[in-house]
Amino acid sequence: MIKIISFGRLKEILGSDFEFEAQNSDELLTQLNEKFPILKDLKLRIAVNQTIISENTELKNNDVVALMPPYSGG
Amino acid sequence: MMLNLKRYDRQIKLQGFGIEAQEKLASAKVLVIGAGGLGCPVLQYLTAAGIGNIGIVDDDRVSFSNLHRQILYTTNDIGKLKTEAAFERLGSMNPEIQINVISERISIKNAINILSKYDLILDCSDNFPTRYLLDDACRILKKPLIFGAIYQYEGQVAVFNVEDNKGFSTHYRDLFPQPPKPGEVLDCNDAGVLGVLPGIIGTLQATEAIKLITGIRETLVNKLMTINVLDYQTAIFEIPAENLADKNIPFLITEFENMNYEVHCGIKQIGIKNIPPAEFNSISKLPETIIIDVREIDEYPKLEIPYLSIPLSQLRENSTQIKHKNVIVVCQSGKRSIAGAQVLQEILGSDYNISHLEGGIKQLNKENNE
Repeated sequence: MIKIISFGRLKEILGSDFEFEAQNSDELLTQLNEKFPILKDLKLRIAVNQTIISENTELKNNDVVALMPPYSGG
Repeated sequence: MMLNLKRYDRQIKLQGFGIEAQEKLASAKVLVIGAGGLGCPVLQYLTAAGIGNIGIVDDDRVSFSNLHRQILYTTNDIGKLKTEAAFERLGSMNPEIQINVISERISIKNAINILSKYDLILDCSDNFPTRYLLDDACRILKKPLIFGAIYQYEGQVAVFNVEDNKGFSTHYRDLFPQPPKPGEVLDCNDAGVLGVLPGIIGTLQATEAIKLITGIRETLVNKLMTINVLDYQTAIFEIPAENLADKNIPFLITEFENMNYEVHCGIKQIGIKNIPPAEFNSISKLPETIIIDVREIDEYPKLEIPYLSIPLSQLRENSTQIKHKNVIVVCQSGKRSIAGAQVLQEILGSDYNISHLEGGIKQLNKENNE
């Protein structure tokens, strides 16, 4: 199982932290996009175990995936 | 000027700090962009800490809704330029440093000239066009940039354009290469903000500035720190370098000076007319005209003239309700309205005149009260 934590507006869309099953980050995103179609329209970055990833990344049991949107407020 | 050792005694005393670190602060030139929620604590702590030369860039005036978080200002300052109110207050806090105010909005025209005079830039702005503008300008000028941003109860802090011990540095564009669409991410005007949050995030930015200048400890170089003040969940993420070379972004000063960050961030759209607040009343009275408020139902203040309320999230399915030829879309600050205008332009097509209220109801009420 992978733990998903999300930030900002993504927390409002996805709800609080939850567990999920996926082999890699692309699969995770595809599944989340199906469940929450609004995600497709949003800019977000994914971090796996506190490192932001740029490419599809393999996910292992107990990995923590963070989903982050940009903030503009000041 | 000779250092006032009494004033800074308690930090000079610190193990690992000393007179040497204090002298580094005294000879530093730091530029703060934005004297709002983040800028206030940044300016207060940098002034108190004895940064020798501080620049403040802001063209805004103090308003009532600023006061719960912008704690440099008092009720008596309402209507004053933030730069002038800040200059007065900071000057009395510490008359031994130099403060320069620039009461302009940072832009492609003035950024290179202003930023060039400082060693370190703090992004305390409140909008994406300015954040991308600063990131590009700092990357081109090779200036360290301390970034801070907030959303409701959460904040982000990072240090860009500083090399880590492997000689590697990142930028805001490595984190978010392209801006989000208008209305996608709400700011404090639209989404609200807990007053203490910018205090915390701004104080962290000031901490990073002091650490970076004095070298007392490593900073958040190539890292993004996030904090949630509701549950105190805090995390530090590693930022990877993206290949920026193939992105459509400026690399030279001449390219930077030809950018349009409002268009880049989708704030200005081709085919959608921007209505300035001063013209809103007369244009809204033209025949065949309807005003659509795309804010959520529970958002205030309400308009005082007839309008139709369709929240942005429901606009697509409810657009058939619109029968008038001239459609003016409005929201709180003019970002969701442009997103709404785009949706309507796509669905209703060119038979309709679609426009939006620039700066939103916030700006409209501000101008009406002046």
